[in-house]
Amino acid sequence: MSKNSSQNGGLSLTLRRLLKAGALGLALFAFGTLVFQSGIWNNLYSTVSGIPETDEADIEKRALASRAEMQASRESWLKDIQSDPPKIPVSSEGYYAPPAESDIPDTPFGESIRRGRDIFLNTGENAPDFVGNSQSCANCHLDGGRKENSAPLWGAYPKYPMFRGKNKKVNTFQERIKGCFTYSMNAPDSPSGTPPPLGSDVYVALESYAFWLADGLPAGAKVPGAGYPKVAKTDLGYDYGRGEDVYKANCALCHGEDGQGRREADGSVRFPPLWGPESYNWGAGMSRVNTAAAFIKANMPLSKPNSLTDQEAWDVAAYINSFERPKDPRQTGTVEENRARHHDGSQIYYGQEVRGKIVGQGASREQAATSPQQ
Amino acid sequence: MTRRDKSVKHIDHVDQNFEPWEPNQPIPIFVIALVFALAIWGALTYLSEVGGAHDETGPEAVQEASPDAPASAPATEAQGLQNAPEEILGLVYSGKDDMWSCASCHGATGEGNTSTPRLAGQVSDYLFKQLQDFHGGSRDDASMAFVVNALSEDEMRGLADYYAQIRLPSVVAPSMGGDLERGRVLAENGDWEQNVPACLQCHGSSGEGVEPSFPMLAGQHPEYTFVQLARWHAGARGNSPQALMDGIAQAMAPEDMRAVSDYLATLPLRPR
Repeated sequence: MSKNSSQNGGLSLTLRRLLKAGALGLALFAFGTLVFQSGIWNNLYSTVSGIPETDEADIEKRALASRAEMQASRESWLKDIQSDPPKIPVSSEGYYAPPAESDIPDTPFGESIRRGRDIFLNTGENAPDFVGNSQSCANCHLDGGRKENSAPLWGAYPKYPMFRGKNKKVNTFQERIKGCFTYSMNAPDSPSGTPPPLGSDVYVALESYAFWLADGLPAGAKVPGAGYPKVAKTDLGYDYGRGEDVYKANCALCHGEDGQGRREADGSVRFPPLWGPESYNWGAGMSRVNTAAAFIKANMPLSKPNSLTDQEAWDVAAYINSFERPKDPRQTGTVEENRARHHDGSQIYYGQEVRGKIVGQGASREQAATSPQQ
Repeated sequence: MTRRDKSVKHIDHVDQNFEPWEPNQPIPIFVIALVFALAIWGALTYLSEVGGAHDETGPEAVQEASPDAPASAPATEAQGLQNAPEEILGLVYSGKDDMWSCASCHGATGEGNTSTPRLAGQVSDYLFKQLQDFHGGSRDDASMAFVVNALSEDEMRGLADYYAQIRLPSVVAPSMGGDLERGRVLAENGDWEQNVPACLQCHGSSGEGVEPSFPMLAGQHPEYTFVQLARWHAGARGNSPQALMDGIAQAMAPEDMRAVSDYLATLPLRPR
């Protein structure tokens, strides 16, 4: 009789125990989920494993927080002259932190910023009348003109108007960009044959983009990360012969052994040509070996800044700039005369003998069309 | 003497009611609870991850592949499946004595599956280089090392060319639970503070690949993309030219790898 009752009681007991276990299991699962979601686990994991938890988001947050702080102190300074004036927003590395792309306002001004950004990223497509080669602004100003040590727009904008030795006059920011179109974009070979006229909406858009990127820096500021950091001169000097090996090992993967870059199926440029008629012309700053070495050292190959030695940077810059490219638009007489007038004392092969030939005559698109191999 | 005395006493101490058969001990309630918790976890994981993904690129498609009639393979949209010399098609669909067929893992149309890469439409020179790297050991994979051991250089070239010319729309969808917006930003703009360039800056504006060295990323299985990034991140894959991908992946956080793998899987495939 005791057996019977224990069987009955056992059944309901088992059921009750199962229910209890189920509830406990659910609670356990909920607790586990909560612990996981709270991030405690991730923190613990990263401390125990020694693999740092991704601070990428934090890095971005720091720059954003720094900018938000600036906005707040701008407002409080307006209300109360005694409060602290705004500070320059900086990234975790300490460089100026430009605003995030998602911060472009939805206003007519924002539209101009966006147009400027589009021209900057893809100049040939968005300002086709004024581009006479296969270059874009963003080729030499990485991350859309935001990256430090890559001649960022925010480094340049606050410095204008400025006197420039290149044309011996005070230049506005528009006039500076006009120079970019004339030389780096080789405007003389463009459909219009000239850079955009001053006041053109192309300049207005680019100026809006640059102004917006520099919003947070005081006018006239000379800031770290502006321009390209100079590369120290080496004992060996520069040599295009040595540069050829450096080029083949580090650059040819993207820019091609022939330096002509690579295109996509629709003809758009994927990797820009480095010499020949589709590159920057002999008047561009980049055709000087020292400028190219500075850019290359701090920015190339992509994702591996400062991976080349100073010597390699000088030599490969020399190699790239030892080839023929579009002629200097300022040349009126002979190459020799133009060298004396505009390139005297510059570290440039223009008007000098390279591989048994004086370079500087210029490479044009028509020339390339008649003789495909230069 | 004393000892004996003790042992004698022991016998006296034996409980006369001792029952040698232990009654059933109930399973501790905590153990049952743990089983319940694990079951809930497992079921939810299955429903959220495996359940959805298999509808689109199920392994059924691979198994249905018949060696004799590649043209009647499941993905009827694929073009160029017969476009190779007979001996290359033989390798693809039947293999050799000492090598299983490509299709047995990569699918009848080269569509791949999860961490087995899609080959259809991939950059030919890239595929050829990978086969050589498996052979030379600079890319480590036991299965592929075995397979390429049976291949001549001409056969590698033929296989690379064959898979490169297959036209097959993207059959993949995000499956890694990555943040797609973060993935888009990484793919289009990069993360320059970490020296991570935009994926599309080198792999083509729509991830279609750039001849001869940059593989197509659009249409690739997110699991495969993620695993490769993770392998570079951990130093387990080392055959990227100039170690470019090693450095880039090492600068990426696991969430970023997931995000970008998923985002790339949303891109339509454009011709190269």
